[in-house]
Amino acid sequence: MAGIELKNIKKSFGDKNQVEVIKNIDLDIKDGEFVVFVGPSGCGKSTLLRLIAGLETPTAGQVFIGGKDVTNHSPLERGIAMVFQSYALYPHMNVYDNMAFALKLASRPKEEIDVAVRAAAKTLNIDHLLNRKPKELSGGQRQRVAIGRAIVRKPEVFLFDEPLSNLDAALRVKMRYEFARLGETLGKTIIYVTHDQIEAMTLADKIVVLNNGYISQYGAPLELYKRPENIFVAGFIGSPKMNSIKAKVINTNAKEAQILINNHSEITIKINSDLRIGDDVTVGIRPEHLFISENKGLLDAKLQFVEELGHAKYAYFETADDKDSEVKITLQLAPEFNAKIGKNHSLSFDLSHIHVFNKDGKNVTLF
Amino acid sequence: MEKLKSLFFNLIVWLLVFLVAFPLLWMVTTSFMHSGEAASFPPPLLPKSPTLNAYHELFAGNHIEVYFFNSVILAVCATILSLSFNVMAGYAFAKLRFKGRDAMFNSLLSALIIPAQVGMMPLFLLLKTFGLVNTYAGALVPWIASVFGIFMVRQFSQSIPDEMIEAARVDGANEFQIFTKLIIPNLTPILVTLGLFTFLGSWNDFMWPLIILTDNQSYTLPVALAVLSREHVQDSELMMAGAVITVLPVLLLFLVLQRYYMRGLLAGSVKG
Repeated sequence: MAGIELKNIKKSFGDKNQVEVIKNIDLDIKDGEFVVFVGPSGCGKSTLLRLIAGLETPTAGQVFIGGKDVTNHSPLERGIAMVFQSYALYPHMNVYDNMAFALKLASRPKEEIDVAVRAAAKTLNIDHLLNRKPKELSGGQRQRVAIGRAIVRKPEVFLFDEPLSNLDAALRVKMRYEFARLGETLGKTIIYVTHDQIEAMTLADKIVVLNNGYISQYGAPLELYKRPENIFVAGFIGSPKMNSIKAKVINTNAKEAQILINNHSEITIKINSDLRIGDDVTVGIRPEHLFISENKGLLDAKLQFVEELGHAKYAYFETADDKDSEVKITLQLAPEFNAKIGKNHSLSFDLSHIHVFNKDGKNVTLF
Repeated sequence: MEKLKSLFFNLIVWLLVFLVAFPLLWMVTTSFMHSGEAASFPPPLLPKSPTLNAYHELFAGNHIEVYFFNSVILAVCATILSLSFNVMAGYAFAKLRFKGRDAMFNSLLSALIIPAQVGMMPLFLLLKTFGLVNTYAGALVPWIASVFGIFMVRQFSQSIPDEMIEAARVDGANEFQIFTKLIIPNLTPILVTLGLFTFLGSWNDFMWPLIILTDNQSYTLPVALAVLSREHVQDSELMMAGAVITVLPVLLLFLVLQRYYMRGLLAGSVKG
């Protein structure tokens, strides 16, 4: 049993702790969950992982692994294994010795080490590479060795720090699938850090979206996609990102609000929080929930660019909001739609998929 | 045109090689001449009938093997001491986090501008107080740690990825195990380079052994040769044989370790 609990974790760097990277984080990860930390560069996701690994000491707060307070324990005492972004293989050792290193340090019997290394190598399909040095391996093979080095120790928790970011696109997709399979095979608690939201969506049981040292939202991938709690999560999860259109509240009661979009279209949505007349809000709508309307729609926009991906087609429109600022709108087109660049279109959207964010960025839509 | 250019540069290189190698070659050939032969006019380039007389006299008459042995002992000990201290300090300055690390390193670097000779007298007085004058321990003191050595190791250590050290920590290695099992093997090129520099420096050092070693039985080769040259000022053949004995071991050492040494020297320029 090795769930992970973080209580009021803070981490600052600098001589006088002037750079606050992690700002009071509470998190509860259940045993056996595959959790992905995702967020933009500098949001603190890798620092949070290193705090769990014991490679950094928190400025405040506690780390619990398997119910035990490990805040001041060394990485070894935490029962974790970590795979680094650069793989961090030992260049002077061959694959076998790289994988056996931790067990040798623990003075385990030679036979046991041999069985463990060969079994892990077979699982990862690298048993034919055991005598090679890291420099003689490809990126994908190095990645497997790094994972193998983690597996042989049979830890309770696996930590992966952007393990696919150094691989090319094709290999990344392949390894992503292998990671998903590995997660199921191991059945251990896994924390995986990435800035790629597709990796997060495809691998995770739960996603932690971090922004500026805080957790923006923690939940299942589809929950984050369908019900983002704030405008940051709405924009970060989903590709292409959710469209954001500035709007104004023109009428409201406790349960509903009337919103004016683009100075001429009114929509009514159910809300779960107080809005006041005159409030500036942001309307969010995903590209797949927008469509080109034959009649007068909610927005008029000019087609600027079409992205043909084969399986999908994305159109990029430009319009103006109520302050006459330029707004870019992305829309998923039907594959057979014949788009003409420069043409004006009227756009509509499915009101059941709309999100309204108040001026603080909080999602106030009632789902 | 290209061919002419290449020929010209080749000629220049060969000329430089000749200028550098000629004194060394003449040293070797003279050491095989009969006594007084090198002083004849015009001076011969090659011995008329090669002989080992000069070497025989060096070993039988002047016990050069004692000084050779002294030099070997001191150079080997200096190399071991220098490698141990400089590598540990250089690694610590590069990779370990401790308060005042950068300030301490900068103050060490600033000490580089002080010439070694300036420190000799205070060091001598200090060692005299400790009773280390005329001892090998006293002769080894200046070699224990050098700012240049620490700097070299630090620069090279910085190219070792932090993640590799952290991976070892996660694998359960303590700081000593990280140092011995990971850092030392990865520092091999710079260890060879620093070791060679130190060995050469100690082997060729004349001034400090002359100051600190007063008993002629503990003289090193350069000091012994200087004394010998005063006694046998006219005997060029004997002097050259002594010079060959002095130069040959370090030349061989350099050639054997050249591969690693070059890698160590180039490392800083090609590694991130």
